[in-house]
Amino acid sequence: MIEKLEPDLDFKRRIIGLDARDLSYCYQCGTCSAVCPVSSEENPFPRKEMIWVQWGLKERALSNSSIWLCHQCGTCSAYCPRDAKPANVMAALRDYSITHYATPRFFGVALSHPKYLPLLFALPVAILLAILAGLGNLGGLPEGRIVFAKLFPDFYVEALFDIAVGLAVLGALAGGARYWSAMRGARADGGGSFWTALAQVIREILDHGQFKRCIDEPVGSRPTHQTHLYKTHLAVFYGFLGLVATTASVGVGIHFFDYLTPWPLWHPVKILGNVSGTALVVGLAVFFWHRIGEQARAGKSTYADWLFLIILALAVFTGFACESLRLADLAALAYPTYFVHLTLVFFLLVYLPYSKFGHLVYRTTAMLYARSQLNARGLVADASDLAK
Amino acid sequence: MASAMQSSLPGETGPAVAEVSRTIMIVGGGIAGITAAVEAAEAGYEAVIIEKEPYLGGRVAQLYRYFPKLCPPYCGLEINFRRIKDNPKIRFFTMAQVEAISGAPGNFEVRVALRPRYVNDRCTACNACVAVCPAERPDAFNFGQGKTKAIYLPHDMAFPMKYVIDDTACALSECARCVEACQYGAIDLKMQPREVVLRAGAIIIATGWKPYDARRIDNLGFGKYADVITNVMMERMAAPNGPTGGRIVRPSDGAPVKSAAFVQCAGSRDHNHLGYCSTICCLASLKQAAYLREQNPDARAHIFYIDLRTPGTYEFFAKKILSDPAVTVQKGKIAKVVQDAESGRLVVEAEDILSARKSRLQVDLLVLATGMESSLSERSSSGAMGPSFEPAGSEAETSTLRAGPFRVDQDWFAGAEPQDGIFAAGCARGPFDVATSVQDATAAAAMAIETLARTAGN
Repeated sequence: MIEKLEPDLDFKRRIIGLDARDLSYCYQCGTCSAVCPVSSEENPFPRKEMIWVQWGLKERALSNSSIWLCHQCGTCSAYCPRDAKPANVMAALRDYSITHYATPRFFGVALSHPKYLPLLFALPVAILLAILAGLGNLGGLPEGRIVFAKLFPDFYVEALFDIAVGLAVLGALAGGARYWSAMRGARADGGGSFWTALAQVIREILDHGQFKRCIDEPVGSRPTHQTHLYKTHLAVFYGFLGLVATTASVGVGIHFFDYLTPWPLWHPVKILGNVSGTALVVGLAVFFWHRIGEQARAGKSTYADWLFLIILALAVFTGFACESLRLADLAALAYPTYFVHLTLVFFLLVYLPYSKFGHLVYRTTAMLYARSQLNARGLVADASDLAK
Repeated sequence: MASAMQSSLPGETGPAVAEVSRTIMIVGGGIAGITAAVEAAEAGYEAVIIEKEPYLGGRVAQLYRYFPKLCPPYCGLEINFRRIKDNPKIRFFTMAQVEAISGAPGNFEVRVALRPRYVNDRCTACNACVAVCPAERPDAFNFGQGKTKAIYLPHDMAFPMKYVIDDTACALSECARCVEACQYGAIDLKMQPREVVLRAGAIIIATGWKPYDARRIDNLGFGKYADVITNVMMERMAAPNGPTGGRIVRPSDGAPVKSAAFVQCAGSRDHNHLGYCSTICCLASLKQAAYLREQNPDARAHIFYIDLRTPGTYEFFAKKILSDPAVTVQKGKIAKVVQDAESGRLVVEAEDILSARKSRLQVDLLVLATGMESSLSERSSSGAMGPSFEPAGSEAETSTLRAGPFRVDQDWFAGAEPQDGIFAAGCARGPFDVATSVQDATAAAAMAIETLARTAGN
């Protein structure tokens, strides 16, 4: 059968531009796929992604689960005989695919170009200012003991972020669905039960099994950044989950029990929040350290990498700052910091499907898809060996 | 050019004729060195070979068979040894290493260190000494597979056919049992290291190659699993005078090998190791697959390659070997090796690139087709070469000599010019097969002769 290939060279240039410039060194030996601790027998990667990008085969590269099944341990780059840095190519493809599947498309573009950054900040700032103006709170800072609800009453914060989360979920579902149907289109074979796969994938995400696999099955003695990744991502992941749980509990407390903030420091939810925030700060600090100090192993960092990391770090930092400034009773600093904090949280949540945070959507989608494919073919007995 | 060189010689006051040697020194007595010596001598020049091992023949002597004809290398070596014996213009030193070179083209002075052999020319190779020797050493000729006594014959067809004592393993005069056992008075434990100074008009560096250190390839299990060996070890194992008497067996338990995998480009074409193609490994693996198939009609050989490189007419050899259905090739490099917990056999993993699936294969033996590293490489751990070159005259005048044209690690294919007077040949210069090494050595001999002609002072 003759298949006509339609190279998209602009796509290739874009991937190279996303810090994958060594891509063309690849001579297709397959070392990367063989050393990869998470790629499967049925769907080995990243060797085929390398040639797909070399040839500009955009649709194939983007409609495969591999790019998101990769957890960026860097083993492939450490063993690549050509120093073609497959890990960088996979990261660039993920970066690109978030923009590619973004719905609405504009947000994908906006999150990948620094020139749109002011606009992205202007949106939440305008909304928050409008709320303040509507409440007549623009004139000056609230008097007396610092209670952030005096600036933004709980109802407004809740309403705003409920809408924000709703929009994010819609965007995520749309992007995830487009990715899913692209994968379906590329491999016509049917999948297994969605719900079984979902249960397995959730378990995998919770125990970070794929990250751990990178440590448990080292192919040799060469250093990669696999050992740090499992623990660091675990800290950030559970730190973030903890903060989500904290926020949700506070919402429930206020809404259903009229238990108004600020809550005392000894309160279990407050403790959860502080511990989670600390875990997140430590994890992020390690990520920063590796991105800056360990570039050779970690791969280069793109705009999307930095944007996500910095926004997340600033959100956590301003969160702690709000708490500290409130306890220190520095109203002139506490209220503006709270404003900045809300802006950053809005940024994180609303733009989630379009920023690097979107890995939450796309990686989960890819894992679900790959898992349901494996289940359908009866290839695995239990959830602990997706990669076998 | 020639007169400029002469006027730069120390002690010269005018354009007087310098002392010109008609001798060509060849450092390294492998197939390239032997060829250069024989060619130069048969053209009427004096040739002197400096060899660090106790025998001539180098790596070729360690091969079981040549590709593509699968004939024994001893055959060609014997012919060359005969040419050396019959030609009074050829001298050779074994257990000798160049310490320093000084002078200029047409008049080099070479300091050579000679290690004691402890065995003189009266040796008849009767083996009586080995029978009484209590000490052992790893068999370097067999790449550490098996042992020899501290007094040993380097290999069956060693030239010169003389025993030698490894003084790192021997107690020498504290033991001396071999001296009593030798009825010819051939053993002299009082031999001391010596140094000689030789003159030569031109020098050929033919110090050859060494197998790339497979331990550096940390993902292929060499040194970790006994059943992972290198291609040069396989060559010795298949040879009738090798450690197993020619039987290809699993090193772990001595069982016959029913299935072997070959990893091509093990350390070659790899920026972590040797950045170049070693040119011979694909053919060597095809050849070794044939060894296995000849021994065991049930055995299977699997060759994992990036590109199967069989240049020129070697294509026919590849076709012949691959016409055997039990020899299979797969595009996709083995990059992971584990041991099966139950059977203890090796499990190798590679991506089968043509079907885009990962394949796993259980084998008895894994042969790493390790590449050739020049003995002149900076990385060379043995420090086998590295004579310092001290040119005569001021720096300006000697700049044409290039600061050591044999430092090929900086430019693998650097070719020296006749006015340099020092030439690299054979695998010291690049990864060649035997035929190409022989041609290269012949060319080097011609260049050396040209140097002598240029510096003859007429």
